[in-house]
Order: sequence, then structure tokens, then C-alpha cells
Amino acid sequence: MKVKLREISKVFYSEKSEEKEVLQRLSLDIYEGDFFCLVGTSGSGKSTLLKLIAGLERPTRGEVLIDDQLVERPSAKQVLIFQDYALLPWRNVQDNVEFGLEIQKIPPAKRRATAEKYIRLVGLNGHEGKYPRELSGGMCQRVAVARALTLNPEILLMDEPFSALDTITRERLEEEMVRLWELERKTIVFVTHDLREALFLGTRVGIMDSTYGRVVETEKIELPRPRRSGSAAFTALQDRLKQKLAWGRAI
Amino acid sequence: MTAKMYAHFKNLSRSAYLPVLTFITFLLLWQGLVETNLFPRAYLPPPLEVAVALLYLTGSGLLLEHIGASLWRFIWGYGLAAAAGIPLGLLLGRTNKAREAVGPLIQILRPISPIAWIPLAILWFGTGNNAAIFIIFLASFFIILLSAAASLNQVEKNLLDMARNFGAKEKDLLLKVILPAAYPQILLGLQVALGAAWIHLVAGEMIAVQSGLGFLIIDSRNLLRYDSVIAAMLVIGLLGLFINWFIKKAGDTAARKWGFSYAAPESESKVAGDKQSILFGEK
Ligand SMILES: Nc1ncnc2c1ncn2[C@@H]1O[C@H](COP(=O)(O)OP(=O)(O)OP(=O)(O)O)[C@@H](O)[C@H]1O
Ligand SMILES: [Mg+2]
Repeated sequence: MKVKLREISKVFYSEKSEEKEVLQRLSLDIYEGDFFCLVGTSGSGKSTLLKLIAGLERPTRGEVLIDDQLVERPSAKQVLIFQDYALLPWRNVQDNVEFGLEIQKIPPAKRRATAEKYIRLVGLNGHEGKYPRELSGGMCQRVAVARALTLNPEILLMDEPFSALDTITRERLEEEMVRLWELERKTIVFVTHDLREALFLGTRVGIMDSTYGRVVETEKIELPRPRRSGSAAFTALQDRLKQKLAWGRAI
Repeated sequence: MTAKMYAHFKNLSRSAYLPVLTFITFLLLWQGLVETNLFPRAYLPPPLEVAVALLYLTGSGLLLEHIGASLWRFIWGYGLAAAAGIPLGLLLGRTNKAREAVGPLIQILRPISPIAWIPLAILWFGTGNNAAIFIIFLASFFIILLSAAASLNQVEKNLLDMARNFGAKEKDLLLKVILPAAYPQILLGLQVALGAAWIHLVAGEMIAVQSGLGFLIIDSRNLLRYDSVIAAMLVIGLLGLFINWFIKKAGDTAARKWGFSYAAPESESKVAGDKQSILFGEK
């Protein structure tokens, strides 16, 4: 078991100090090498869940375990890729990708070499000198992925990484994500609004429901790769899982 | 290099063409008003007379002396305001308790015009440099303080979380995330404060001291030399423009040196409208 969430509750306090229990006794197991896709409506607590796994937030009750160790603080072993990329606007692509290595006090020469390797991996070579404001959304996303990979994390936590992109870019990045996962076999927890995206990418899918604040359903995705979202088996699975997402909510 | 310089001048001359035309029209109208006696010479010295006065002031070394005195006070007053305002502002922005405690006091002191402080300044420091420096300090301090405090709101929580995820501790967070993110807002505060400081420098010098450009205006008026008054006014305007440009350039250069810049050096000149900043203080 790579990641184990045990009876997690997370309470936030609004400005009027009203309690809001976003996650309620949520339990979830994620296996080593899993490409776990989490689908849920807006506000169901997906980002919160990723931050808990990353150690950036602490659960109000319950515990988060990684390799049977309690997660108490953030660690470069599990890296979160933020919904809005979180690139430093005053650093160019090269320096953004080097950021994690710099924090980890890796010597400059090694930093450069490692960053170059991952910049090439995500196909951004030639753009090293560009600044975030000169990049498209898809390119920013790749920078964030490259930066996360430089520290060779065991777990990648991705928060709706492709939701702001156009369909063409999005589908290309999805394919690249699968290629990357097949290459590096990291454990990935991938949050998305989009059931189709989850079924295209994942080894397992979890469905989150905001009324219960829990993952109400997990299912192994047995579709053979390469997957095609139009295929009969794909559509059948998608239709079946759609039933399990609460009615009347936009997915 | 020469080709680049040529292109630079060509660019400059193209962007300078309209403002220069406006300026010449302005001078012609002014001269015309006086020549046609629509505005009697005694009430408005024409540009040519002002130019002569300016030449005289320059030639006698008087102008340089007054400019020197003004700049000296300005550097002290504004420098002290920046040296105190930036660290205090950052502290204020970082600690909620401090902000709660001194916020209201600052809000009361801030709207008081620095001019209103002149009597007290003279009482405390006597007439002389220190009183004028105090006025300049007051004019710029609150602006710098508040914009430094507000600059920390510019730091996105996600950036801090991202850095913590990679293992950043307090020191790295401050040096590699918080300061670079806050820098543009701090620089903007410094520029706004600069305008206020320069305006009040002249006001302070008109009352508290016996040298400087503000004093030159009062002194010329006492001698009924309105051509010199206008000449001094023009010098104040031009110097203000220059200092503004200088601070912006210095800020940008520092940003580049520290890696706080938001774009590569070449791509910045491509940004449309940037050229105008040479002629008009702000973009
Ligand atoms: N720091 C916080 N303080 C107070 N409330 C918060 C905080 N973070 C999240 N929340 C609340 O918790 C709920 C879940 O937020 P979260 O961002 O985890 O949802 P999400 O599933 O990621 O939504 P989306 O799909 O829109 O990104 C929301 O109602 C949100 O308002
Ligand atoms: Mg979210």
C-alpha cells in the first residue's frame, strides 16, 4: 500500500467561524504504481484531499500514511502539481524547473543537467529562456510537470492539470501523461472533473461525492491500452460510472 | 552594436516626435500670448526671457548650487523613508497583531498633509536642512510603508505551498518566494512616494530653508524676477522627471541582477507603449 487514508475528516472554518466538514471519515487505499483518478463535482474536496496527501494540510481527524509512515509535513517524496501550475513568474523555464533542486541544495552543474533532461522529456527544449507570461497554458503545465519530476518523487499528485486547456492540447497531454507513467511507473493521484479523462488515463477511478465528503466508489479500469474514448467498451464503462455520480450535477 | 544604437535612436525619435511637437506649440502659444499683449508681460514673462534667466542662473553657478541643496535633502529624506518604510512595512504585512495594533494610527496620520507639519518641523528642528528633510520623509514614508505592507498580499499562497512541498524553510521562502513576489509592488510604492516627496520638497524649501529650488522661487519672487521663478519651476519639473526615470531604471536593473525580473531583457523592449515611459513617468 503506497498511500493509505484512514478515516480522514477535514473541517474548515468560514469567516463567520462556521464549521464546514469538507471531508467526512474518508478512507482510501492507493497502491504502488497506481494511476489513480479521482472524479468529483466542484467543491467536493478533491484539492483538499491532494493537499492532505502532500502534507500541506493536516487532517482534523484521521491519518494519512505513505509507506506506512504518518505524513506530518510536506516532503519532496510526494509532489503536488497545482491546479494553477504555481510557476514563479520571475523565473524563466530553466530556472523554474531548477527550483526544487535549488531548494534541495543540489550543486548548480548537476541542477542544470537534471533540469535539461526533464525539460527535454516534456518537450520544452528551445523554450528554456522564456518566462511564464510568454508561455501558453499547456506549456506552463509541462513546466510544472518537469519541475515536479526533477526531484524524482515517488508520488505525483496532479490537481485538474488539464482543465484549463483546449481539447486538442488536452488530449495530446493525456497521451503524454500515459507515456510518462508507463516510462517511470510512479504512483499518480490525478484529480479531474472529467470522467472520460479519468477512464482514458487511470488504472483505477474513485468517485467523490460532496454530500458525503467521501470517495463513494472506486473501480479498477480494465480497458486495454492504448485506449480509445470512442470504443464500445469505453463508452459502456463511462455510462455505467456516470450513474454513480450523483444525478443533476454537472460533471 | 551601431545598428542597434541606430535603431534605438530611430525608435526614440519616432516616439519623441509628438511630445516635442506639443512642447513647441506650447512655447509658441505662450510667446504669442505675451507678444499680442493678451497677457501683459508683467504678468507672464515670455519663454525667451525665461530662457535668458535660465542661462544666467546656470552661468552664475547659482542654479547648480540650489539643485545640489535640493537633491541633498531629497536623498536624505527619501532615503530614510525607504530605509525605514520597507522593512517596517514588510513586518507589518507579515504579522497580523502588528497590523491590528498600528493600522488605525497610521490611517489617522497618513491623510495629514506634510505641509501641515511644517510649523512643528521648524519648532523641533529649527529652520534648516533637518526641517525640510523631515517634511520629505513624511511625504514619502507612509506611502512606502503601506505599499510594502500591501505587497505581501501579492504573494500567492499556492507559491508558498509549492515551495514548502519542495522542502523550503522560512529563509528560502522569504528570499526565493516572498521578496521576489512582493518586489514589483514595493517598487511601485517607491515611485509613487517619489512624486510626493519631490512635490513637498519644494514646499518645505519655500518655508523652512534658505537654499534649494523652492527657496530660489521665493527668493526670485521677492526680487520680482518672475522670469527666474518660471525658470526654477521648469527645472523642478525636469528634475522630477529625471529622478523618476532614474528610480525606475535602478529598480529594473536591481530586479534583473537579483533575478526578480518578470521577462527576459530583449523581450521587454518589445512591449508596446514601453518607449513612452521615458517621457511620462508611468506606464
Ligand atoms: N483554506 C480553506 N478555508 C476554508 N474553506 C476551504 C479552504 N479550502 C477549501 N475550502 C472549502 O472546502 C471545500 C472543498 O474545496 P476544494 O478546493 O477541496 O474542492 P475541489 O473539489 O477541489 O473543487 P474544484 O473542483 O472547484 O477545484 C470548498 O467548499 C471550499 O470552499
Ligand atoms: Mg480543486
